[in-house]
Amino acid sequence: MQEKIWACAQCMTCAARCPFKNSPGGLVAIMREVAIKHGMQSAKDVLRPFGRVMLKLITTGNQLSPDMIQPDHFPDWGPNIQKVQGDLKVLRKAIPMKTLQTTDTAWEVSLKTSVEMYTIWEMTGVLKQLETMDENLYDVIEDFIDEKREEYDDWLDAHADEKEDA
Amino acid sequence: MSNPTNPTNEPRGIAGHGAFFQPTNLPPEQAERATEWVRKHVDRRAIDLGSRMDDVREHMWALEREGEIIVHRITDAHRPRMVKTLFGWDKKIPTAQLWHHKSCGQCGNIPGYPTSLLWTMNELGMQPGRDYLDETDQTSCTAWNYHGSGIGNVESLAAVFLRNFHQAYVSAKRMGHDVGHFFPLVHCGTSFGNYKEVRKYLIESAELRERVKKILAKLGRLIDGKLVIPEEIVHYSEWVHVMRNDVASRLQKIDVSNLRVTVHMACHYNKMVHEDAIYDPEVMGGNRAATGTGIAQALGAQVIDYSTWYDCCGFGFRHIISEREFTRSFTIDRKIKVAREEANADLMLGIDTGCVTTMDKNQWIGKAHEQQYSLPIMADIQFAALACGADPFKIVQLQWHASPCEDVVEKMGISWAEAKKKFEDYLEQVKAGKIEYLYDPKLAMSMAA
Ligand code: SF4
Repeated sequence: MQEKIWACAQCMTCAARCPFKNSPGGLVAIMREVAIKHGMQSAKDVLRPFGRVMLKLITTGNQLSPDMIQPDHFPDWGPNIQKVQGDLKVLRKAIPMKTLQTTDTAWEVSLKTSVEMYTIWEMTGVLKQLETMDENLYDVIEDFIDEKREEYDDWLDAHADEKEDA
Repeated sequence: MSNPTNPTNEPRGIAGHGAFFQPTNLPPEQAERATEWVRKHVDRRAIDLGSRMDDVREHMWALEREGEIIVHRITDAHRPRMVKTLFGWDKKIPTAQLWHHKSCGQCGNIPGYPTSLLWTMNELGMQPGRDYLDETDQTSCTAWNYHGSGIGNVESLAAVFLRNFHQAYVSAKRMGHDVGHFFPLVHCGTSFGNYKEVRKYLIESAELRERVKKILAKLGRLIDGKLVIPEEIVHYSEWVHVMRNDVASRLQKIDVSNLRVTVHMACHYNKMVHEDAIYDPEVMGGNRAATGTGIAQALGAQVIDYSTWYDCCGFGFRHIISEREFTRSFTIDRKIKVAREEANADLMLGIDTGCVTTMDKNQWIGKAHEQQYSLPIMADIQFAALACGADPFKIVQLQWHASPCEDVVEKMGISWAEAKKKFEDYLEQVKAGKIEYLYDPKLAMSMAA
């Protein structure tokens, strides 16, 4: 059972088909939450390859970024996963939307937005879930969050000074 | 009969994954009969309306009357158009004053998705900063992660929903407009499905509202002490759908009637909260969700039906990262191969992030399994932008795709080699800091930090 809940593709085909309007896929999601809450080994095994996504999501509010989708991470996608080769930074600058000219987040997320996310993670127990699953990852994330909060406080101070000067 | 995968015939069940999986070995007619009810159910829209299917929006209005929540309304200024959903209910789709709620998968991996959408809006005369806004103050919905890893919970998903939609509600103030000016347009299919599930939980559970209110208060994201919930959750493909005839009649430059097009419907668009997906009697007889197909028809392409249209793409949230054999087998067997062999398709259109990525990136590996199928994959709006004369590289950003999109571009009468050369020259300009934008970059910055 432990392994089977992780096999679900969360496609919700079952939800639309069930004559009793149940959602087995939804139930699977809840069972996964329970597996994590109890720190089950199957959940730990399954989540190990998710570390990078998790780190990205928790610290920036984005789930993936262009620098994660490079050929060396996905050899099975073939040698030509892009049709124009070149420096990732330049290729991203050639996207005509300002918010997308990033390489380490999918779009530019303002610092204030990320700091708000940290509050959500803390107050909803998500950081606690992470601590149960992967203590090392949790430590890295905690340090990162502290740093970003300081950066934001500095920005607020500087901004307040500017206001006073004006 | 002896079963080659289970010679001792121990009862192990027939469904499952990995070693657990074993075929039913039913003869074709019996297999057909065994699953007939499933196909009937989804193809004929025979879902029993019954008294149990509730329209959550009615409860939302009641909560607003009781002073519990603020509903971010779609007003005449949003120039709404009406559509019908699965059960014939009305849904209002705003067509102007839109807050682009981006998708991390699209922006990170298929950037031609949002750029084609904004380009189309510009071509229709929409003015950035007044008719739409793309800004930095938003997060992912976080649902890809939740569905893949189980990290997160209803409360965190609800807090993210409310945070992002509160920002949409107040975002126009810095431009001197009233609150509510911009209405959220959700780019991602998973965000769309997830937000609708979350809306339901929020409306049905006073306890959840109480708990997230504390979080939103701490973030300074309540209005008069109340939560803000949008009147409708609107997917970008719904905007494309209601604008399809405008796009075709006002913008189309290239005849695409020579193209055989298949459409993959995103599971989280039409299965997750299925009652809210658009159905239109003019699109596949009303038997399929209409988005994606509607725009292909309006542009005059030949839309070809195929037997596995209802199947998932194989993305699986965690599977695309850590069960890649499942993802690539599923996408090749159930989608690419069928679209090529059965529909003889020139192109597969998607309306969502994960599906386009999965089908686009998992074709090359087929060679290792003697499954040499290749099929160009792109989003409905990328195809529409191409048909309307958008540059395949600068705007449609096909350089990020792995599937043979150059074949479709050539069939549309555009020289891929010339367009590519032009783009490579443009990259030299970009290096020199001469970048062309779809809107004034200053509009994107919601704060200096
Ligand atoms: S249980 Fe439901 S959501 Fe999960 S893979 Fe099966 S049909 Fe899809």
